Amino acid sequence: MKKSLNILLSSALALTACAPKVEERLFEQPKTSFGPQSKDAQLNLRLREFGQAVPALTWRDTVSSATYFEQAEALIELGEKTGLEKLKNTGLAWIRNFYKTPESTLSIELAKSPFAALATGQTQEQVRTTLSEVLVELDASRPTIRSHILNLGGGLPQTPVTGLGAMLTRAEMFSNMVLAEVPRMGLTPTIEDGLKVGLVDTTKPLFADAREFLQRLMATKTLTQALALIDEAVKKFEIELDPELQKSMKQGRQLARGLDGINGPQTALAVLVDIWRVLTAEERAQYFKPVNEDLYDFLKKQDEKELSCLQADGCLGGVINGIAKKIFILPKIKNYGIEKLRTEMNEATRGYVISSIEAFASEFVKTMPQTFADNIDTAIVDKAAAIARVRDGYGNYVSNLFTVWQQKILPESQGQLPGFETNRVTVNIASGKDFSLQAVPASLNVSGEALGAGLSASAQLLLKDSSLGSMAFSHMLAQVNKLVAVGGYRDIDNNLIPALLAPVNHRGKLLDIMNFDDSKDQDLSFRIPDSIALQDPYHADPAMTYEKDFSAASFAAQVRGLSRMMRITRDWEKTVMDEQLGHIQAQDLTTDAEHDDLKQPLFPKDMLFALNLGDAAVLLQDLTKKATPVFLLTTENNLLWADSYGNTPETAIMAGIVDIKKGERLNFVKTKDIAQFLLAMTEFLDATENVEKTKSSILLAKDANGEAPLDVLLTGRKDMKLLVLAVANFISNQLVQDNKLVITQMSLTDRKAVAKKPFLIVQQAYAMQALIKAYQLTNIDSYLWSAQEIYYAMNRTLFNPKEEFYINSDGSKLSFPERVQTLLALQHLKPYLPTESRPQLERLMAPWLEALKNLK
Amino acid sequence: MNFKALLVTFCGLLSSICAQALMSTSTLPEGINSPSFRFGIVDGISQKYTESGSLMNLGDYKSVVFDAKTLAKFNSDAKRLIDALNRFGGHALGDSFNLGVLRVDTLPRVQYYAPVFARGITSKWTVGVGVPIVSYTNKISLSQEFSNIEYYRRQFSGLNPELDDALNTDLSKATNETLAGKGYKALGNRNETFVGDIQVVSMYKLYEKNEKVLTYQTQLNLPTGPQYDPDDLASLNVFGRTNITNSLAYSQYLIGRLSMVPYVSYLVNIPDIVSARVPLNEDDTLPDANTKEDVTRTLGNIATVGSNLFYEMTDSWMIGGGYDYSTKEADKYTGDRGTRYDLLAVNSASTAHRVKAEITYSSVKSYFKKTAVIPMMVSFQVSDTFAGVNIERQTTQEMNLMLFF
Repeated sequence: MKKSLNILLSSALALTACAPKVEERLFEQPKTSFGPQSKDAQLNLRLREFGQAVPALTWRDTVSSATYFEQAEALIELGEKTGLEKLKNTGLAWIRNFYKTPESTLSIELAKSPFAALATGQTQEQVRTTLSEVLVELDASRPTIRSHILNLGGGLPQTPVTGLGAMLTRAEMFSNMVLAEVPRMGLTPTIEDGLKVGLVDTTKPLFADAREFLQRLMATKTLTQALALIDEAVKKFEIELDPELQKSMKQGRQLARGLDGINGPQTALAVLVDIWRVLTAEERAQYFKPVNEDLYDFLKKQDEKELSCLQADGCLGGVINGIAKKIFILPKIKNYGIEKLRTEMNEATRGYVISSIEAFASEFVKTMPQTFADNIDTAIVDKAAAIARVRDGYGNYVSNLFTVWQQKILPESQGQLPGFETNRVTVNIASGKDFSLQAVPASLNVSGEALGAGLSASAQLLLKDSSLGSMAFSHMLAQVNKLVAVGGYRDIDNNLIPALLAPVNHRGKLLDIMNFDDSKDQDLSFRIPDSIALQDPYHADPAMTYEKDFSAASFAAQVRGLSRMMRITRDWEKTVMDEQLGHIQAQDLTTDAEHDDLKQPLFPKDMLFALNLGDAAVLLQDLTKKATPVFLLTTENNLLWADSYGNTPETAIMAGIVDIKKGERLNFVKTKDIAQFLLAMTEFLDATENVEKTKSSILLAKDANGEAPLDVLLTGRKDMKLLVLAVANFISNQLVQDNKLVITQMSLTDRKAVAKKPFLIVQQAYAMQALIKAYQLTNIDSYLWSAQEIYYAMNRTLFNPKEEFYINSDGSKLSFPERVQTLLALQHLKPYLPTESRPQLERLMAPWLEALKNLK
Repeated sequence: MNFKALLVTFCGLLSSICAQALMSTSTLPEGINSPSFRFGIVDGISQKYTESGSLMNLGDYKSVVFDAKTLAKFNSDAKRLIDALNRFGGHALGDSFNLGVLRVDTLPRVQYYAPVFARGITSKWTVGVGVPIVSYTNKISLSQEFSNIEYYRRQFSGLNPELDDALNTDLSKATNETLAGKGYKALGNRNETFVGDIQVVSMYKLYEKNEKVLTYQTQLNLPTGPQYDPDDLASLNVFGRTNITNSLAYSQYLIGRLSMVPYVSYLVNIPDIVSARVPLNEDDTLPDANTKEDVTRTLGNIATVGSNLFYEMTDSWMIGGGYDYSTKEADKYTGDRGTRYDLLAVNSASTAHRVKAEITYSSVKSYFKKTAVIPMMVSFQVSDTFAGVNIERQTTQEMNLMLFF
C-alpha cells in the first residue's frame, strides 16, 4: 500500500515535472539618461603668443539707435559676466555719450511735459473740489469769526491806557486773546489752522516791528528824525494815509526843514510863522500864549499877507509892523537864543507828533476789536479770492509752478528735458581710436524699436552708471515722461491725450489706460508702431499718423524696455528712482500754500510702477487678442493664432511671433525676432518677480468680482511662463535643423526654411541666448542641450581658422554687432558647457574680448 | 464489477475546472444507486500557457508596459502628452516616456464540493446528475515598477496642472479609476461561493466481450452557474454554458491486472447570447461601457484524445495514470452592430496536454466477502496540464467518496 502511494505520488510529481518552467517576463528598462545628441568638435585654434597684437575691431556705419543701444548693453553684460570692468564701463559710456550727443533727442520744457500735464489733470478734480469746499467754509466762517472777536472786546481791561508802549502791550494782549478764542469758534480744521497761522504770521512780526519803531521814535531828538521814522513806518507797515494826514505830513516836513534851516532871528521867525499857520486858534493859544504873550498878540493881529512879510527877510510891512519886527521881535528872538529856540521848537513839534500818534493809538485801542474783526475779514475775503483764482485757473497755476520749479531743478538745461531718441546714429568706432558718434537729427517721429531700446539702455544707465551726476536726475525725469507718453493720459479738461500705444487694427478708439474694461475687449489692440509722428518730443501727433506696421523686433524691444524700467520703478524695493525723485514733494513746487496734502511725493513710486506695468500689460494682453502677432503650433502641428488659445481642443505646444505689415500678419518668422521675444518675456518675468509685495493701490484695488489687477498679473505671469516654454519649443523643435543649426527665417505655410538664406552666426547666437534663458527659467534640460548642440554644430561647420572666429555658411564675415552678440551668447553658454569644452571656448573668446577692451 | 469506472463517469461534472479523473468504461449494475461526494482544489490557474506555448505567471502575462507606444494607444490624452513632450527640444522626450509596468498579481484558487447521484438503469446504462458548489478566491494586487517618470517629474512639474496630473499618475490608482470610469468592477480580492453548472451524464455500454468494453458517454452541461459578466475582469467566466460532450471509451486488459482505456471525446458548445463589451479596435483593451451589446457567442468545440492505464494491485487498491491531448477551436461572436466581434475571440483557440494519476481504495469486494460494513470507494486524483497554448495551467487535486446501495 505504502509502496503504491509512493509510486502514485512520484508519478504525479514526475508528471508535473514535465511541465515547462515558468518563464519570468523580462521588462525593458526605460531610458533614464538623457543628453545632447552631438558632441563638441576640436577647433584648429592658433596658439596666440604673448604680446601678439589683438585683433582690430572697427564699427563704422549708420545704424538704428536700437542697434547701437543693443551693442552697448551687450558690452555691459559681457563686462559683468567676464568680470572685465572695462567692457562694462565702455558700454555705459556709449549710452551716456549717446545722450550727450547733440540732436540725439528733442527736448521740451518740464512744464510742458506729459508728466506735468498728467499731474495737473490727475489732481485738478480733487483740488478744485477741495478748494470749492474751502471757499464755502470760508464764507460761512466770516460772521462767526467776526462775532467772536467783537465779543472779546468786553474782556479787555476797562482802565484807559496811556503811553504808546502800554497801548502796544494792550494790542498784543488782544491779539493773543483772539488766538486763544479761535478753537472755540467752531471752525473747520482747515479754516481754524489757517486762521491761527494767519494771525500769528501777521501779528507776531507786526508787533515786534512796532515795538522796535516805538523805541526808535522815543529816541528821536528832532522833528526831522521823528518824521523820517514815521515815513519809514508808513512804508513798512503799508499804511495808507488819508489826504488830511498827507497834508499834515507835508506841512510837518516843511516845518522840519525850516527848523533844520534856522540860522538867525529872521529864519527863526519864519519857522514860528509856519508853526502859527499849522496850528488851530486853540492850539495857538495853547502853545504860543504861555511862552510869549506879546508875540501871540502880535501874530494874532497879522493877516496872511502880513505873516508872509514877516517870514521874508527885508520885508518890513507897514510902519508899525516894520518897527515891531525890527525893534521888538527879531532882537527878542536873538536875545532868547537861536539855538535854544530851535531846540525848544523841535521838542515841541516832536512832542506834538508823538501826542498825535498817541491820540491815534488811543483811538485804535478803543476800536481794536472792530479793527481786528475788519482786518481778519478782509484777509479772509482776500484769501477766498486767491483760492477762487487758483480753482478757476488751475491749469495755468500748476503750469506756472512747474515753470518756476523747472528753472530751479534743471538749471543746466534751463528747465528742458530730453524727449524720445533719434532713430538713427552714425558710429565711428575703432580699436584704440577716439569714439565718435553723430546723431541723425531727431525728428518729430519716433520708432517703436528705438523707444524700447532707449528705455532699456536708460534703465541700464540709471542702475549701473555711478558717474552720471546731475544727468541722472534729468534722465530719470525723462524716463518718467516716456512712461506717461507711452500710455497716454487725460488732461485737465479730461481730454484723452493719445498714447504712443496706437490702435493696431481698429479705428477711432484710443487707448484709455485707466479704463480696465477696454483692456478686456478682444477687438482693441494697442502697440507702438514701427514709426509714429509726434507733436512734440513726447506727445503723439493727435492725428495719429502712422503706418500699421508693427514689427516683432519692435514689440520685443518695447516689452524689454518697459520691463527693464520696472526694475527702477518697482515700489517694493529701494531703487535709483527713490534717490533721484523720491525726496521731491508736491509742496516743493509752491510756497503759496502749505498743506499736508502737498507733503506727498510728487512722483509717487507705486503709481509710476502701476503706470509702467500698465504700459507693458497693454502690450502683453494683446498677445491673446484678435490682432495678436503670436501664432501657436499644436501637437498635431496645426497653426492657430494666440487669440484662439483656450477655445480649441487642440494642445498648443509651440509658439512664435510674426511682423505685422500694413495691418496684415506676415507668414514667415525670423529667428532673431523669436529669440528676442522670448528674452523680452523673461525680462518681464524677472522684473515682476515678487510683484505681490507691491503697495500700489491701483494694482491692489479689487473690482466687483473681488479680483484685483494684481491677481490678473499673477495669473498672467504663469501664462507667460508657458508662452516662454512654447517659444523655446518652437526654437528647439522647429528652427533647429538636422545639422543642429538654426535657420534664419521659416515659412509658416510649409514650416520650412525660407530658401536661399544661409546659416548666419548671429542667428545661432540669438537662439542660444534664448534657449539658455528658457533653461534658466524652466530648468528643462532639453533647451540647454539644444543650445549646446547649436554651439557644437557651429564648431563643426562654421569655424574659420584664418578668421579665428566663426563665419556665416555663405563665407561672409561677421559685422561688429554680429560679433559682439556672438561673444555674448558664447559667454552665456560657457558655464553650461561640459568642463572639457570650456577651455577651448575660453581660448576662442580671449583675443576678441581683449579687442573689445581696446574700444573707447 | 469494476467500480473504478464510477470514479470517472462523472468527471465532467465540474466542467473545465474539474479534476480530469481517469476515464473508464464501467457502468453501475442495474438498480444500483450511487450517491457520492467530491471535494477538489484547483491550483495553478495563476499560470498560463501563452500563445507561444511558454508558461508564464498570469501576473507577468497580464502586466502591461505603459511605454509611450502603449500609452499613445491607450487614450488620446496620453497621446497628446507624448506628442507634447516630443516638442520639448529635438530629443524625442515623448517617445522615451515610460510610465513603467503595471503588474497585476493574482493568486486565484478554486475549491468545489459536488454531491453526485448516479443509478444503473440497466446493466449497460447508467445515468447521473451532479451539482457543484464552487468557492472562488483570488488575491489581486496592482503595482507599478520600471518607470522613468521621476525624470519627467523633475523636468516638467509645475508647468501646468494638467501636466502635473499626468506626471503624478499612479498606475494602480489610475487603473481602478479608469475601470470605474468605464463601469468595470474594481480589481480587488475575491471570495465568493456559488452553484456551478449542473451536469447530467449518460453512459451506455455498446460492446462487452472478454473483458473488452466499448462505451458511449454523453454529458450535458446546463448553464446554471454564473453568467458571463462583461464588467468583471477578475471573474472566472467559465460557467453558464450549455454544451454536450460525446465520448467513446474502450477498455482492454493487457497483462495480468494491467488494463488500458483509450478514448476520444468531442465537446460541442451550444451557441448562446451574452452581453459583452466589443472592443473598437486591437488597441481597445478596455472597451467602454457603451460598447456593451448582446452578442451571439459560439464557443469553440473541443476535441480530446487520450488513454489511461490502470493497475489493480489488490482487490481493494488500484492505481492509474493517463494522458490526453485536447484542442479547442476558436470562439466566434456575432452581433447586430457590425463591429469588431472578432476581437472577442482573440487567442481563444487552445490546446492542452494533460497528465493524471489516481489511487483508489474500494471496499466493494470486501463487502461481498462480508469483511466490510458498507460498499464504498475512496479515491484521490491529481492532474496537471504540462503543455499547451492559450490555456491556464490547472493543477488539481480531488478527493471522491462513493457509496453504493
